[in-house]
Amino acid sequence: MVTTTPEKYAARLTELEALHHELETGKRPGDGAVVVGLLLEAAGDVLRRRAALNAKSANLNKPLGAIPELALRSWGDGVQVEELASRLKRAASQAVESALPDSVEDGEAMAQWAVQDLQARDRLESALVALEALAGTGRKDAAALVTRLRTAVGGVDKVCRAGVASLTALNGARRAEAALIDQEYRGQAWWYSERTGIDDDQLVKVLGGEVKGSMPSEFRSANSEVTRKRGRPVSFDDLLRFDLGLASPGEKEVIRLQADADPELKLSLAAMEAAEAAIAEETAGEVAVPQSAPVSIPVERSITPEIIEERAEFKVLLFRTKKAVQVVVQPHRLDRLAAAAVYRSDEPDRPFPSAPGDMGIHFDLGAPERLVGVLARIVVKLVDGQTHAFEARL
Amino acid sequence: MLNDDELFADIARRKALGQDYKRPLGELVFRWRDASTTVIRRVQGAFMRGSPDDADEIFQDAVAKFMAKGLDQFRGVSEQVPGKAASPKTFFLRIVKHCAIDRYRRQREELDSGRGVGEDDDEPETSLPEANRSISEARALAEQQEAHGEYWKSWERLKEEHPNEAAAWDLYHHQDLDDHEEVARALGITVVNSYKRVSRAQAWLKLYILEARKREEGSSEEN
Repeated sequence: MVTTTPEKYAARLTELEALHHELETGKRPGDGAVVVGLLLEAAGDVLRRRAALNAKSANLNKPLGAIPELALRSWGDGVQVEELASRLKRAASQAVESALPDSVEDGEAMAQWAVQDLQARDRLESALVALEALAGTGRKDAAALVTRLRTAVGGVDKVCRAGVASLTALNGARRAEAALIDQEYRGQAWWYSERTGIDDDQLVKVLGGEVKGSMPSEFRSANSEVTRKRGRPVSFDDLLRFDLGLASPGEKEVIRLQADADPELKLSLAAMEAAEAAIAEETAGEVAVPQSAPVSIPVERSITPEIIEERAEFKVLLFRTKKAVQVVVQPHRLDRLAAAAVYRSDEPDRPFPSAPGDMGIHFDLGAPERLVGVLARIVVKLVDGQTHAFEARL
Repeated sequence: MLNDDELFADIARRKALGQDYKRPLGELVFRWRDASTTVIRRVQGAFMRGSPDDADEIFQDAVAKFMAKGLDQFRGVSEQVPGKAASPKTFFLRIVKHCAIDRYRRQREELDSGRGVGEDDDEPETSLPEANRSISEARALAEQQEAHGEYWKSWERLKEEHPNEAAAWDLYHHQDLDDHEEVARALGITVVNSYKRVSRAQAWLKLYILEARKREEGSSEEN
């Protein structure tokens, strides 16, 4: 069960004071972008929850006004809107898994991770609201930045909001969060507030056929489309993958089942064998050359990583390729990172070896087919002794 | 003159660097033309259909597929199943083989699907009620096809994002196994897992369809 409490936000005013002080004294090295980000989030959290926090009279102009122009620009340049889109999509996916999990523990973990991703969207919303407040005091740099970010984030929201029905699996946590947000900001926070009626609480389970319940009208035609009996003939790609030895056990079974019932497919398999004999004749005497890639193409560059966690000091990325699954711990600030280790749930006592790479510290966790259902535990230690631990499903 | 492997390495290098590689690729596959014809004939023999004229089209189709995906697939196969791809030539000939098989499989399906092209030409004039019925039937068919299309798009997305669930759904639903014990046996998972995967697949497919419709509505409203 994922819980959320007003206490989580109650400390925001105190944090705001501390961050304001930190900004003014310039205690942290660097351009201050990290502190600016945290300050904007804290201020926005208060601005959007004044009623719940009983902070109607809180004056936020002073801490916001202390934000230097250069540090604000640097923070704005670092906002990764595309990553936000990935996190919202992942939240939608994990929300469904939390409602229809393989085990109770899996369901709880999935729900927690999904809520963490929604919180990331909410933190950015708070920062934007604080930025708007700053722009309202006449700061032109803040006005320009918030316009740019609102446009970019609006694009992400438009795409991800279409999938909000998946988030109904998290309705308990979402309702609790939405209830803390002031009425005027609640509608904008669609990730917490849209489709949170109790009628929708069981929606994902109903869609999955696990629970009998009334199907909302908008889903009725999709439901009949999906449940209508239909076949899927083996395709060109299926046969090629089968021939090349790339077919999964499921794909092989599909071909076997269809060949039993479809003489045409049987004929295709016979043709495959006959033509293979011709290929063997045509290539007889050729020496198979080792097929290393003629030009080294870094695997990491060709795919988009999943972001497991992002903090001011580091980012944890998960790369999946057909060949390997890799975790990369990417320090934002080398002087803050002390150590990182990665463990697999099937070998919980063995830290995986790391290697320095061009993106950070790389941990190769093995081939994806061996990692089904396995969790990775990533532990990152900072120089001040703080330890952060995260989990990711591989 | 570069040998096949050297020429193929040159093509892969050009592709990785974003340079034009069509000319050397054309030269390379031209060397394999005769071998391709032999493979195509063998497929024709197995299907007992086809003519020498087909070979040209099949060869062009194979070249297009090799250019579109084959170069990357070859690298993937070499890495995942060492020895299976053997050489670029062997790999290309396998694509030729599958293009030929696909062509003759499709031809049979078209023959089986009933009336051929041109059979509508001599239809008598229709009355107004008949025309109206034809229009509504055509509309119903178009709607059905559209819905059919959105289902398969969602299916492709499921395969991409959740391959395990897609595999279970494919067996349970598309292949009509309708039995979780059978699905579990085929996939090497537990019966409970099979049940859960099928449930998730079903939920995702419905959610994807609704999501696509909502995006479509959003775009229409903007336009």
